[in-house]
Amino acid sequence: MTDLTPEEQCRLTKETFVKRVDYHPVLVSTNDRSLELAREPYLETPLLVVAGEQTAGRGRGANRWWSSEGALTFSLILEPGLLDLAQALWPRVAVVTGLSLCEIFRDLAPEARVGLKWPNDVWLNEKKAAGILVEVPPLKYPVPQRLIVGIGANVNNRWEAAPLELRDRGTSLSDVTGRVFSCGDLLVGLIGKLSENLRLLADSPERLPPRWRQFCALSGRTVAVQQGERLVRGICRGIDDDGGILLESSSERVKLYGGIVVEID
Amino acid sequence: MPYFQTGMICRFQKHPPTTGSKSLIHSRIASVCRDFGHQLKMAKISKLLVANRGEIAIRVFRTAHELGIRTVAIYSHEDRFALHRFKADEAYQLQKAGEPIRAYLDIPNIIEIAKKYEVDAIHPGYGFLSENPEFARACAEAGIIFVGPRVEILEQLGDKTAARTIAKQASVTILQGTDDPVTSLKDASDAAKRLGYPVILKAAKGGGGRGMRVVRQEADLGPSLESAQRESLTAFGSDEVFVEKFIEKARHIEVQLMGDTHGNLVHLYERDCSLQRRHQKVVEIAPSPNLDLSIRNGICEAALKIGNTVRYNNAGTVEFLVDAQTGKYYFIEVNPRIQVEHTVTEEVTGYDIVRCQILIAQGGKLSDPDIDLGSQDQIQTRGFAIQCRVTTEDPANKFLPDYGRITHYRSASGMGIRLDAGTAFSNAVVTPFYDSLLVKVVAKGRLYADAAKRMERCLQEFRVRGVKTNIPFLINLVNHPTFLEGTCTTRFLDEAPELFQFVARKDRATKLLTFIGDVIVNGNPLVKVKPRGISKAPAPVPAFDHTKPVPPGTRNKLQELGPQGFSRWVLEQKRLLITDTTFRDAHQSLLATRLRSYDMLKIAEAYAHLAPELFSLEMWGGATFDTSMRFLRECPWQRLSDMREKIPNILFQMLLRASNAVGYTNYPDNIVQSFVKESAQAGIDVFRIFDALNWVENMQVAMDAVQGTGAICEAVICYTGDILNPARPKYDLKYYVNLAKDLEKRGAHILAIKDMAGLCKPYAAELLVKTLKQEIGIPIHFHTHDMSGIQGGSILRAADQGLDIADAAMAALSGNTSQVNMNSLVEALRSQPRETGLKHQVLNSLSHYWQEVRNYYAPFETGMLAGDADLYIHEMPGGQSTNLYQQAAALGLSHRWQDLCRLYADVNQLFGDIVKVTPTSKSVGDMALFLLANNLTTADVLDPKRELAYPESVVDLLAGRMGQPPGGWPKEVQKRIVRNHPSFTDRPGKSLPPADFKATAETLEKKLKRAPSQKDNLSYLLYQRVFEDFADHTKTYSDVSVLPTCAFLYGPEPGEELSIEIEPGKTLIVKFQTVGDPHPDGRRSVFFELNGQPREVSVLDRTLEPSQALRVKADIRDPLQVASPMPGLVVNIAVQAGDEVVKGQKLLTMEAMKMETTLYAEQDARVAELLVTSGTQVETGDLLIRLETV
Repeated sequence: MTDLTPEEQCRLTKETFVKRVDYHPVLVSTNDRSLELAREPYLETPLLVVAGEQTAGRGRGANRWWSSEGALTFSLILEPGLLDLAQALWPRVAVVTGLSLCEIFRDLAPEARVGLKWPNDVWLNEKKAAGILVEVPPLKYPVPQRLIVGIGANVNNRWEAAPLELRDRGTSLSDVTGRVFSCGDLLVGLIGKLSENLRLLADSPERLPPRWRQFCALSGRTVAVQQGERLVRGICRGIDDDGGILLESSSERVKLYGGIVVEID
Repeated sequence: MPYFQTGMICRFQKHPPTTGSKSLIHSRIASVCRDFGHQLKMAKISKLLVANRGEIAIRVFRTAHELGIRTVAIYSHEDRFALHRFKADEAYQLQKAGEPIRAYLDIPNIIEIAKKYEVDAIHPGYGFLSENPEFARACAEAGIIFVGPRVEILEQLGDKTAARTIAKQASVTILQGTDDPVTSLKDASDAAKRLGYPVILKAAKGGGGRGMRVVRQEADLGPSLESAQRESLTAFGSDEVFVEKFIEKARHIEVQLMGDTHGNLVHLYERDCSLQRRHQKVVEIAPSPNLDLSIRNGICEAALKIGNTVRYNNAGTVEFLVDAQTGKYYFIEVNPRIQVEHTVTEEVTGYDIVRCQILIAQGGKLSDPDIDLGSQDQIQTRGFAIQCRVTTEDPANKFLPDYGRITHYRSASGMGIRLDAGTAFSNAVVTPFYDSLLVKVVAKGRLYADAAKRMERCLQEFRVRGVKTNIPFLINLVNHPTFLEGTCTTRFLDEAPELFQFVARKDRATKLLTFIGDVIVNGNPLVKVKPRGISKAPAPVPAFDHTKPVPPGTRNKLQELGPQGFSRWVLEQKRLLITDTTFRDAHQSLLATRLRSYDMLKIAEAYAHLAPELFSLEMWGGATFDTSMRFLRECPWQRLSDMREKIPNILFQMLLRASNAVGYTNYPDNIVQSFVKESAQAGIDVFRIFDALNWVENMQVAMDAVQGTGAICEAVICYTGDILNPARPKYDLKYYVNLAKDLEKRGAHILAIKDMAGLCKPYAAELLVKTLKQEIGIPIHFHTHDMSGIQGGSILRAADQGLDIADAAMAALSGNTSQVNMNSLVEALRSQPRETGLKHQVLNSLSHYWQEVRNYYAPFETGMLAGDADLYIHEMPGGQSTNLYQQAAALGLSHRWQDLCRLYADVNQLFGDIVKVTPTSKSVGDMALFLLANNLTTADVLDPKRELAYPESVVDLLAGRMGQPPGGWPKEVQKRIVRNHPSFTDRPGKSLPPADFKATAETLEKKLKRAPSQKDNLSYLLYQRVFEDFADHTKTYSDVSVLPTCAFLYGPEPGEELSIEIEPGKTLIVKFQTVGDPHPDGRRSVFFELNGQPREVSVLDRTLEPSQALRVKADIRDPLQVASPMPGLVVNIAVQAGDEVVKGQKLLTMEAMKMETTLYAEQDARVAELLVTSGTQVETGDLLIRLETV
């Protein structure tokens, strides 16, 4: 259970761009709750939905997010219009969020290898420590266009408690550092960092790629990306300026925006 | 039911006197009738509540039922599915949901339930409230009989200080120690000095081992006292601690007492509970084996004295420590309740202790016939009983309790076994809230050794899956010599580390079911599209007489003659000898090397019995080593040894890539040497050794290694070019002759011509073999691929010139990229001088088997339907052309296949016309594809204005990492491609540091958690990641090579029954039932019947989200052109061309970085054209849909 005290909720609205906090001790999924809220025409955004405990987080199949006690699960409802985020920039929100998480993780776990696994995972020592899911709620006049940025981060949960087949694939801040973290502080820090980076994305997007490239966990490795029936294999040459992944095979260099990384050498 | 009826009937039916005179029987009847009147005056129990859970509650219910008493269970919210609830006539839930332990300690709530439902007696079981005087008092106040001793006895004996005083009063020796609890470190220190170390600290109010510490020296006293006090406070609410003398070699012996409320008291002899782990009893024995009779009598008498001092009533146990060295015994404490281990006493005395308890609580006398404990003399023990407590604790992990669903539970039974189980059945859930006791197993035997053996048998019979149990530990224990001697002391378990060495339970059934379940839900990753209508009929194995010995074959000849002698024997043969490639090259060429050991082993014995005339079976090496682990998840070494066992008489042959062994790169010499040695030991007789550039120097290490093993060294010349074409002078007849002579000189026993691309035309084969026969003195073995369709002609021409051995494949797996059709070849030579000696019918029956088997592997077919003469242009090896075609198709270049073939030939010339076979052929292919994809020609490579980054394999080739071609590499090309990369001119293996097998073994031991064999080391060194994945797979799913192929590749259909032989004589019968709906965690249950019993496994559904370029940009000024607002993948299209759409209607969904966005129509319109499909990757501004006004 990740408790968020009223004091911490207060800090979030005072110290970050978040206007409102919607805290629930137990929620099925913060993204589901956000999709529900995002239907409201009048909403103070950015709005933060936090779950003390998330019982069935989003993500499908093997990518389903494992949440257990001590995981930090929350979603941010943003209005791209208010943040000057043109639609062509939206795909980069996942990468910018990943970058923000990486930078926070690097500060908190300086000994660990922090990596951004394209497109939406953050790794600590080669294991998944956080996942990001950006969703676009259906547009319905007069509700303004919104974006939902869902984040699940393994903070104080011990990965030993995870389902067996996921155990080797995941880790947490606590697992790698042996410390326990204040979720309130982490949330304030992370949202502060994310708002800064979203500002940059809107104003000077060219300043971000050099920062996310240094975290790219796949660069130089042979990966295979499944796009429906098509399997694209190649050496990863980093995350491009527009957030796509660059793959180089013996014969060509391609950029992919979608699909699933199914193999990493 | 009125009590007297049951009492009378039970008495006579269940315990008819078996001995004694008529008069004795009469006097007993008289006594029953006398007591009858007495019992009528007693408080009869008609409804009994058990204030407990689990096995002890069930134990009490059983006896109560036998006594005709109605039973009542209580249960916590967490226990609402526990078995004890269903074993009672009535069951009521306790309050305090969320407090699973406290619920059972809630005296007012329990009394309330008891009163509400008119319970007249409560049995407290053990633990919980069993020794709580408040509870006994509350029962009394509510007018309910408490089945246990009087309140004051509970009060006196519950306090250890008071208990010791009582023992003193009874003149029973107590272990020297403090009379009062110590309150300070100084008191403790003084006491310890007085008693002499070692001492033991014990919680005054405690039991069960908590708050106990052994202190051996002064320095440890402080910390131990502190922790003992803390533990005692937490566990018992009091930090009072005693100091006692500690006995090093002690036996824990306890005496069962039974007293009535009329002042009568007897004992039921002793139990030996010396086997304890952390002061918790693990195994109990009655009577104590090897206990001196005088000590036994002394202890039992002492127990009675203590009991008599307090006028003990009901069941109780007096515990003693016996110094195993001196035989002195000391009182420890009295447990005023039923004990967990009461069962063993019941088994050896024949008395039902719970029954006695209830009858006594009703007011009965010991002498009542229903109790029948009137005189101590009549109580005897017979035989031995041993109880093991089976718990859900993981002995391999410090006995950590395990929880969860018991997926399968099968208990043991049979003669002399008694089971007292709680919630132990298939699908029961073990919760973390209560102690981990699953079942108490009691084994009885006439002798102690019989009981121990029976216990071992019984434990082995248990199958508990889903949760871990301590059974492996118990098995070790009951097999231990000290246990079998019956001389264990209380510290035995701490001093016998060998008890904690476990043989890992294989649990193959669950692992295999999980694999099959995964294939059913997610499909086998090897099969992209499950083919329809695959026949699952078993392939027909030709009949042969199993009782006859295997006829001798070529292997026997080799063993008889040695390699040189054998080589001469081959030369003497008039017939053309035939090698069958079906087990290796045929399926490597036709089915991507996917043929499984399962299908090979099924036909193996038929080969041994029916086709001993074959020269050899090519069945190992090449790509089989890698693919068997990588794709088939089976061990190549295992395949080799299993095949060897079934075919002892025919030579086994493998393809060895010289210094590349069975890999794709040069390995250090010691790896190659060790690999050869291990392969020969495992059963390889003929090593066909080649170098991909015909570089003889690179073959020497492997050839030398083979010569040291007693196996046959078959050295290869790889055939390329065309000796008949004067325009291709590089690889002329002279070249091959010199090569052959060199190889003969270097010790080859046989020379092989490896025509991997099928280029050796009939007249070339004739000339080559004829010349070689004149120039060398060793047999010649011809290997070719029938891609052109004409290679049968080459073999026949060569045979006419004295060719000794030819490679061919069974008809069903022959032709095209595979070898020549053996069945036809044999027939072509029938009645001719070179007739092969192989039987037509036999070969056809073997081929029919393969025909059926080939059908299972349909997804791996290359799709090539006919022979092709393009090969004379591109000279591509058979296996490569299909691979390269697939690679080109993946890049969308399949329509330019002819261009690619031409480029392949150009690249070959650019590189100086080289031998093309794995791995050099791959480099040539990669380069051709690189040029095609980038619209380049070989001329561009030499263009100094162009700086190109070449594929790694091409750089490796030109840098000499794969060796040197005749005449070396073209200098200019090498310069342009290699640039500043380091290059080799010498043999790469020479400069590679030798592999450190010892260090590898150490690394591997950690990964495998067992000592690796040298074969494991080699697999790991050759294919590190592949081997690791394979090892993980085996750990998770066990050995999947035992599965029938269709089950392995496609999974069974609902209702299909599989018979899986996991080892000789052990067969699992698996019937797939159905797949359940997904659970919220993304898993599905897959339901099976395993050996006729329902069984389910849980499988993660890896259904992946579907996910793919467009160049037309939308005109942003035209509202009828729908543009992509962002880069991404089109994942779903909601409309079709011609559909009318209204403003706001969904058009399509896109995905980028896992973010899905939906596009909506911005006006009413009709869809004129869709420019994308699901899976198209688009950029910002790309035109997706063209609309038109309605």
